[in-house]
Amino acid sequence: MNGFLITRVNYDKATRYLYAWCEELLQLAKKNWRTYELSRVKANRKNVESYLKKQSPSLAIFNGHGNAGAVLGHDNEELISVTYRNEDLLAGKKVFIRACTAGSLLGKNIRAKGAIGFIGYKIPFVFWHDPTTNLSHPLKDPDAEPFRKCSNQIGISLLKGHTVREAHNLSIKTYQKVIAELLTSDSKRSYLVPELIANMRNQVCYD
Amino acid sequence: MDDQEREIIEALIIARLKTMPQNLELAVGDEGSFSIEQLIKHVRENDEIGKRYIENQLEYLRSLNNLPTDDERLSDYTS
Repeated sequence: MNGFLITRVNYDKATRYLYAWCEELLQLAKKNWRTYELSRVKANRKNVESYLKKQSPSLAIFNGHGNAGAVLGHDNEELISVTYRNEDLLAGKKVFIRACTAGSLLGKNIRAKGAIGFIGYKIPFVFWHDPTTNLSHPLKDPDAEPFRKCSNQIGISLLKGHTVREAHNLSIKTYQKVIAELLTSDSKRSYLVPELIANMRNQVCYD
Repeated sequence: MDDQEREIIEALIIARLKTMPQNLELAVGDEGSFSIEQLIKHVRENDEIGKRYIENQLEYLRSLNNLPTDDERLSDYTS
């Protein structure tokens, strides 16, 4: 059984949503993956490096904040970063980083240091949400749902065994379908489309 | 973009923001979540948050003027 490492944090509005969005991936992984979940305080560099070295998962998905050179964990600790030069720990793995901007530099380094492939975002990942009624239940937020669906498609595809390129393409197709539905149906949420387009256009795949 | 063009675009973007449900917020990574009112302020101040928001809206508006086929769209982003 292949190993799957997932990190997720939950300390502000944005990460609360990302944290909840990972539930679908964890449920799916139960079937065919040996899952190593590093949540909240456990999402620190020491644990990530230890799991990557000792368990050698074939798939790693990071969720949280980030910047051009790093993906962050609890308390904004850098988990994988160009500063700590630990990108090589992801060699031989498929990698998806759902965090701002890590696709611009870190993702290229991860691929250059031997990862099978990388998917991320070259500018901030953005999404609309309604914190007045849904902060306790992010999965019930209809304004955030299209963003969850499109970005989760990457993780779903990777967990189902697709290549990194296929996972990227399937996500793009999901974006197109969701955007078309918002623009052509009776949906009153066409205002979500510009940010969906932004995420789609700035999603990068290095393989 | 000259000042007059910028003013027109700013007014358009703000008008669009005012039509949105006012309870929504836009999460922009570790820069935080911004209410509609805050976004309007950032657009008026033309700071980094405002500029990025305007660019996303303009990209969308441009796309409406030149909608590609499904195949063209896919090849744009998957190559």
